[in-house]
Amino acid sequence: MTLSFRFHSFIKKGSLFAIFLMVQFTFSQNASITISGDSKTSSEFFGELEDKSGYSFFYLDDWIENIEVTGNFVDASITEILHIVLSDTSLNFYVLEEENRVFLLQNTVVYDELPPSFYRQNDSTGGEQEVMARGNLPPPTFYNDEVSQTRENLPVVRVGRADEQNLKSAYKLSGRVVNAQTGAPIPDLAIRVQESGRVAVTNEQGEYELILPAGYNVIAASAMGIRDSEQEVIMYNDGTLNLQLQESLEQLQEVVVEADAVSNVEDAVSGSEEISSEGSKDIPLVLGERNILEVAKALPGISSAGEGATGLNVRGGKTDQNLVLLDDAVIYNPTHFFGIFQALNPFTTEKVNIYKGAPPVEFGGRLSSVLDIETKNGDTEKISGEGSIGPVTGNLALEMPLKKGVSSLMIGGRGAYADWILQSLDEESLNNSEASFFDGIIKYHHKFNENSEIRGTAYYSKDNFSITSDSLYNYSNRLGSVRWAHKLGEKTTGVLTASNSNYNFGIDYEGEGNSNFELDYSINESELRYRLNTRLSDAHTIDYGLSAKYYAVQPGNVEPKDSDSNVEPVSVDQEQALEGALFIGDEFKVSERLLFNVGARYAFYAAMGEATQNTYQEGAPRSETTVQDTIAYGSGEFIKTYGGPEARVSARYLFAPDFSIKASFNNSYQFIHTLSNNTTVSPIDTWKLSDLNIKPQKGYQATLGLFKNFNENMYELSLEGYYKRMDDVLDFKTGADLLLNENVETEVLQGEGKAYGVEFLLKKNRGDLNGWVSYTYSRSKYRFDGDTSEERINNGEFFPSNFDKPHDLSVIANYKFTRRYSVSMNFAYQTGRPITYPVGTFRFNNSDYVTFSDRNKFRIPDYYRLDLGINIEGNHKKNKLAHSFITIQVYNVLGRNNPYSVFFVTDDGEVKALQSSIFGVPIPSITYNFKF
Amino acid sequence: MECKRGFYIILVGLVLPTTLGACLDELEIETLGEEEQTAALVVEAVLTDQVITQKVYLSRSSLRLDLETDTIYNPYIPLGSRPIDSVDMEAGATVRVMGDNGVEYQFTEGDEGIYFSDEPFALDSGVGYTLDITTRNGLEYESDPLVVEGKSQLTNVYAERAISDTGEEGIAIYVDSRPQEGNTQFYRYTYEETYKVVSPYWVGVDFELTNYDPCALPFPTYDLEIVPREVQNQVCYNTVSSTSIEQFSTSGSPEREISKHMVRFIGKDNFIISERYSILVQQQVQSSDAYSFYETLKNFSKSDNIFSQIQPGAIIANVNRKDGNQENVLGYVEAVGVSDQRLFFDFDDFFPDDELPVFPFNCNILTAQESHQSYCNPNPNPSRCALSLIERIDLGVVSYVSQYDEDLAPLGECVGPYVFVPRICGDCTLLGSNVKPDFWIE
Repeated sequence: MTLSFRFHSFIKKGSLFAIFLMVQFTFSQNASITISGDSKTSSEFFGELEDKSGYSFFYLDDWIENIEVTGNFVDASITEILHIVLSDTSLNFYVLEEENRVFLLQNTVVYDELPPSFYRQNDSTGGEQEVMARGNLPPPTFYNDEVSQTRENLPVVRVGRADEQNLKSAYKLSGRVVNAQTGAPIPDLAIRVQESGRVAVTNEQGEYELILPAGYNVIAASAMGIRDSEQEVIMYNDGTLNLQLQESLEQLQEVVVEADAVSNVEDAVSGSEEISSEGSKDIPLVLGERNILEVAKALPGISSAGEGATGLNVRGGKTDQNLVLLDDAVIYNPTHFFGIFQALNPFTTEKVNIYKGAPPVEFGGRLSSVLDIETKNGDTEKISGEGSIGPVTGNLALEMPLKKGVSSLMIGGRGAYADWILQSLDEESLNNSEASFFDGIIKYHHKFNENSEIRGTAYYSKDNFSITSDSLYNYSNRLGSVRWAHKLGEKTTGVLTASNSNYNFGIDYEGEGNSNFELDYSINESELRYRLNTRLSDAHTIDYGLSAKYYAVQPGNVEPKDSDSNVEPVSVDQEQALEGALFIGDEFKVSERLLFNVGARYAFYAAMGEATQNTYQEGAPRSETTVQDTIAYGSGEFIKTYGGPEARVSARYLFAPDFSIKASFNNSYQFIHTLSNNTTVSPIDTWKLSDLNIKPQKGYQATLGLFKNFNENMYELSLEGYYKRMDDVLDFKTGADLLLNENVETEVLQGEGKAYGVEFLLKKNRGDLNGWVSYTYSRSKYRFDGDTSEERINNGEFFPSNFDKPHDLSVIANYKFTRRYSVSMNFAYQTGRPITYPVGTFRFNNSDYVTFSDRNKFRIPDYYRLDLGINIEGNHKKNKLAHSFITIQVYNVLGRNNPYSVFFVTDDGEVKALQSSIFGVPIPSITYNFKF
Repeated sequence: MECKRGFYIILVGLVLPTTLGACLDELEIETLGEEEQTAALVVEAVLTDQVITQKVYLSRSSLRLDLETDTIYNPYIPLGSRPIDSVDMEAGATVRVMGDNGVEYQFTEGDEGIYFSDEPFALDSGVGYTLDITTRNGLEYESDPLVVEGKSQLTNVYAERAISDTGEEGIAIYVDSRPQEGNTQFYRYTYEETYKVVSPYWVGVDFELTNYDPCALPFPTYDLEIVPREVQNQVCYNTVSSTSIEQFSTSGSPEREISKHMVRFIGKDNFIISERYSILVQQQVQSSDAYSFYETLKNFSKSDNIFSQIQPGAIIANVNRKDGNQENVLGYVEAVGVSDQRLFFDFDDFFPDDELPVFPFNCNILTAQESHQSYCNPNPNPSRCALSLIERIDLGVVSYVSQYDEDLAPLGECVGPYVFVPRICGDCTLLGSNVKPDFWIE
């Protein structure tokens, strides 16, 4: 065998810079050697081989470190020995006979020919310069380590061992990608070959296969939640490359936005919004308190009766028509202090998904919306925490791994420290008042394996406040839930959820006399839900399952507070009910353009004994005098059942990948209602279960919308209209007494409602300037047309609801100057809400009083408000104990004295017209946030 | 500024008691409703089981917000020159009460819109009564049947030093009560308080202006004398009825006794208790319907909580047109079982070491030039002085103090021969009656 070449190389530790030069020479068969590899380390072996052969070897120690030499060689040539010894390694060798030198080579082979293009490149004059090429060889790989290392910290990977006999222009690279933290495979990861643009996507097991050109390549991996990474690969042959990728927490937000941006156009379901707690941290709000529920009001179709009014009104629905879930359990009052602050720890809250249109088929029981609030999973790798100190509350959240990579615990706590400030104020009348609140959450998350994980959440919140010195009010939410998600095969996943929620309020009355009492109300519900998702084919994905709920309501107990009190104990009988549902939904992809989401749900409800119920004379107004019969029901006996099918249909048609039209229809039943005789929600409103006399509310909604994204999803634009009807919604007779009323049906009116509107939203998701503009035109009207004047409101005509605000504009903008400084703005404009206005004054009982007739005939002046905030991120030094974030905000910068209400009081016998406002002056605040 | 304080209170996270108000502004509203609206009939009657002359009040509602109940004294506006009450009373109606046992009591109009029973009578328990009204325009109205639900005896009415809800120090008046018969779950308390007023600047003499002709030329003519007072106006007694709705329910237990229920709180600074004070508390046992009417009316006219108002609406009264027309009638008629008791006390009984409450009216000692230019002077000179003494006397707004004394009133351009005070400071008849009530015990 004759080889003709000339070769020179330097081998130095830490660099691999090879220069190939071309010479022509020959060498003969080398001498025979006898050597044994037994009980020798590889370096001893190569040392002996060097001695015996008389050749000098050039290699790096760590290349041969792992070579196991086992064979015995008798009279073998050095070429034969090296062939066998290096056969299972990625090392090649080259013997330079003339100089008695042997070069070991990593991956590469020594090219003993110029590449075919070599001379042509240099000889522009043409001329037939025949170059003898060995096959159709790819050009050799030249690679400069030093240059590459400035680009990436990831070490260069060399794949395969070049085989002289099988040199190809491209090789197959395969491997598995796992999450570096959890070890879980990363599916749907896009691996892109730079330059060529070729892409491979990992399968469910995180495996991929890619054809790469021989030699130096850069592959880039990207997926949602994974830190983008690049890997330099030198391909010498087919081979495997397993990647361990880091989760990308910093970039998650951006990635989520990206995913959302597409879903805005592509999903069949419309009218859904997602707000991330972290993502909304810059939005200035009152007293610097983060409040995703308040941010929700800046989205189209979501509003409230006013600043400081508890509860959300979604698309003209009442406040009791929203299903608010915290980790699958219902939270009856997710706010503190009359709705001004959220009862959620911002650091433990991940996000809220809001469904204003047809909600996913697993949800039901409320007419207007579903607010699905999710908490974060704790960090399974290291202990971390976040906290904040603001003018009203202190927040702290801790995440700690219990078993690394497997299970974690998250604990959050939050409290208001208004009370001590209150006490230290030099204002006599305030000393008897108090207002305080706190909430706490604990969440455990455990991952058994790839196919099964469980999490449990427990939450408690409590508010105390006093209006007069003798009455102390309190309310609390308590909930717990367990969720087990597991895989039932390649295509089916199941989620089993068990939850329990409790809401109660109390009044503690302690006056001078013998009338001290304690009043309690509570509602408790337990739910079990099993939801399955099966991917039948590319065209069909079905969601199905069932849920069952048990309610127990204690409508009110009064107990004497102390032994002096001669208050008679009063107890209104407990109410109980079962609510169940069977549901199935199919996401049906008819074509690339047309997608249907068709769901059906059968809702079932049964009011149960033990209870007594009155029947009333037909046609007569319900009152104590028209009671016909009183029926007693035994324990567990069904008093009355209600229910029916619910449809959840939505369709999407894509005109273009970033432009779609969507339509939906849904109907729903609601079996529990709030009883409130206030114009806005009050924390002591009670929930009432449907029974013999109170029917469930029913709702129907149809929507149609256009969705368009621009500029690679940087801008989202949507325009959506809706029309809604509601039947059997509740209202009350004038001056109804609802608390502790055993026959509350005598005070209840059931009527109809209609709401319609057009919602416009323009969102900019990325860039230094981001935010959104939303505008809604909507109307919301109700009608109560009973048989007698007592049972009619406004003579049985439709009247605008308390939250009917036709024009509603919100602008939220965020501008990032640098990595550390950003400013935010929040602007809101709304038509003034309707209020009931008197029609005259009369004298009675030596005093003047106003008289009212038509409900909500008058509007208070329009509402507008501008909030500004500056956000300062702490510096990003690596070794700091904690990362800090400071927000300086001014709420209501314009100092607009927005009227909250106009009302009339009789004071010392005289009537006075008063206008109240909640935050009539600019309110500055500074909040310090920290993270460790 | 009230708003600022409101903000501060919000800042520290407090629910605001009514009296503080968060950021409450009073609106200047003159009239309500629409012009074409007709005024509604307002009926008010509390018929009792005591043998007395029973009363029925009939009036009309008004579009005006303010029915001018202002009792604030303006020393420059002569008393009686404007209505302190501008309620449109309903005169000329025929009113009677009929029992289902056949009795019938006729009423006759006394003062305009106030109808008195022709003779004293008491409602009997167990009898259903209806009030029957025929208005001047011939429309007939009747009340729902009225029954005295029960009777409960006030066992004690007493006063104690106390601190109010809003932290004010003062005197609280409490009642104890024991049920006697019937259903006594619902109570309403009314009271009539009488207090003694002593004029702080009273002297035995006063101005007397006679033969006054302000238009005489070149100067007004008059005779001004200082004469002894002819009427007693140093000590007076004022009687005021309660204006608030004070109710109590023993919620579900008809036989329950009531102890230490507060019906009235008087702040320590209120001048009505600076001299002797008396209160007649009346306890009325109501029906549940009447109780809810008053409660609703009260709820609609107060604001406990600025975050959440009760939804107001039309309150249905228990008087309706006989012909079935749905005309809205305001007010309420009720039959109650009553019990009353009177209490007297002095400021010193509770605050022996404290200063008496200050007289609430400004009693600056004033002086003014005695006369003025003739009103008929064709070329009046602009005057730098306020009203002259004789004009003030003529308007009845001043009370004599003494001859001019530099120590009492500062020297100035508009000085006259006398010093005087606003009349209210020297004449208590502006604040009450100068006749000692029959029940008064010193």
